[in-house]
Amino acid sequence: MLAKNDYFQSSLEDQAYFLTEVAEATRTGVYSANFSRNKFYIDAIGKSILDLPADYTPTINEATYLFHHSKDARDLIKVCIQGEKFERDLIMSSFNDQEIWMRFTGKPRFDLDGNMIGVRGVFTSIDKYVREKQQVEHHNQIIEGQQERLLHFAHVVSHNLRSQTSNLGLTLDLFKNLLEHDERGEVFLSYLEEISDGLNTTLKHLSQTLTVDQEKSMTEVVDIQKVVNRVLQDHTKEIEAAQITIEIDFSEYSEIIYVASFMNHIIETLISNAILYRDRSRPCIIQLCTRKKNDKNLFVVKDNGRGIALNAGKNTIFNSIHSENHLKNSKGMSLFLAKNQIEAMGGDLVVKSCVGIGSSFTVRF
Amino acid sequence: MGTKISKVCIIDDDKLYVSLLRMLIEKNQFAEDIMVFSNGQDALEHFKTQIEGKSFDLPEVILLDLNMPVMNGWEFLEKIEPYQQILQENGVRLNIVSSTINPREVKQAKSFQIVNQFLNKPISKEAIALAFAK
Repeated sequence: MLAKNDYFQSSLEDQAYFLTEVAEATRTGVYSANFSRNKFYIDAIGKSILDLPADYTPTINEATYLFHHSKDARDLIKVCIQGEKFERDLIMSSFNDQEIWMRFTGKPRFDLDGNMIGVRGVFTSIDKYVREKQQVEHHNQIIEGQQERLLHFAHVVSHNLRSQTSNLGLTLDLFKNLLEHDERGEVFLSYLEEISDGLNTTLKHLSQTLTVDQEKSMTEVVDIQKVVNRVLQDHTKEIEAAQITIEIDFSEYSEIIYVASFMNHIIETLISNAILYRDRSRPCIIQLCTRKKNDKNLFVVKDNGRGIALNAGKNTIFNSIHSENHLKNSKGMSLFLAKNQIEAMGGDLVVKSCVGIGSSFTVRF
Repeated sequence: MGTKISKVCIIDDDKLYVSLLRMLIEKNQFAEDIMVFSNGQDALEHFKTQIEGKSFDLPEVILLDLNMPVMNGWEFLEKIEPYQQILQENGVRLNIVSSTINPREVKQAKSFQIVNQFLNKPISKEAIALAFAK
């Protein structure tokens, strides 16, 4: 129960208190310009914002110097003469020549004959926000510039390297005949071919990473079952040799609107990784299924392979450069690209894994 | 692998690529004769002279690079367009062989009616064979 004359309660009704507090909190000053007396009045809070002496009352002409660009003052006067109110974001100069961004408003005052006799209004410091915005814009420009340079660099590198690897591949192809019946030569040739193939694969993935954004609009109906069949067909030899069991359940859905090249790469990557990193000490089982969960289409690849040690907060499995031995080849870039493609389409790729038990990769389209 | 054609025209400024391609064509007997231009301008002038002189000593296959000095592949495609019908009537098949990975460029290149195929580098013997296939 409050006391009858509670100061704290009555202060809520105190308009002067309220206005002063709001003005100080928002750094808002009040001004009025009296043209007939040639005086520009500013309240105490306004003076403190502009670091003006307490007894400073400039003439109209002197007050124009409070505007960093004198054109702003002239423009505002013109607007007033036309009888219109105004609201502008402009720079004011403090007594110490500091530039402060202000939202400056005003309404003209007229005498009974309709002559403008002055202006009244407020100015609020928006300096902090404007400068923060300018800083963000500046950073954006830097980032955009860096991104553009990086993309250009990647394109040039990719383009020039492709010409070189193309020539390397053709050279090796022509060189092959010269090494017939030369066992050592053939061994070295096979090494060179492996290097050439690795370079080509990495370049292909690099190129695809660069064009993800351009390709993401090229969607069509993709049948996951068909893509999986094709990928399994490509791996028939390994699957049969290692007696891998593939369990498929696409009963929930099989068709989806997606970028066909992305889907091919994603499924190829997940299946070939499951085959490559199988645990050779036990029969390999790879489960592929589609699920619908919370209006999202999922595609899951689960295996009982070697598994990956996923350190919390240091999940580098999706990076393009790996320290993990099992990803130190062109396959590492492959997973990085798959994740890029999934994310470019607004989805994500979640991995759950346990060393010695297996892994599950869930694509949420 | 494919029938041997009489003449192929390579328009590319990469001397090493041209040498390798020449060897590959000769080794696999893809073509009897090879003509080479290091830019689009020289090739265009040759074709114009042939067509306007009505001598029609034209290749069956053209392998055109896109990035070249003096006149690049794009300009060549534009300038050769008026002669498209006559070239096609004489059995000329123009294939682009490029390092570009830009899907927009690939699409744009394919939009030229005269373009038969778009072959992306790195290029293999099989891809070359495909370019020669009728």
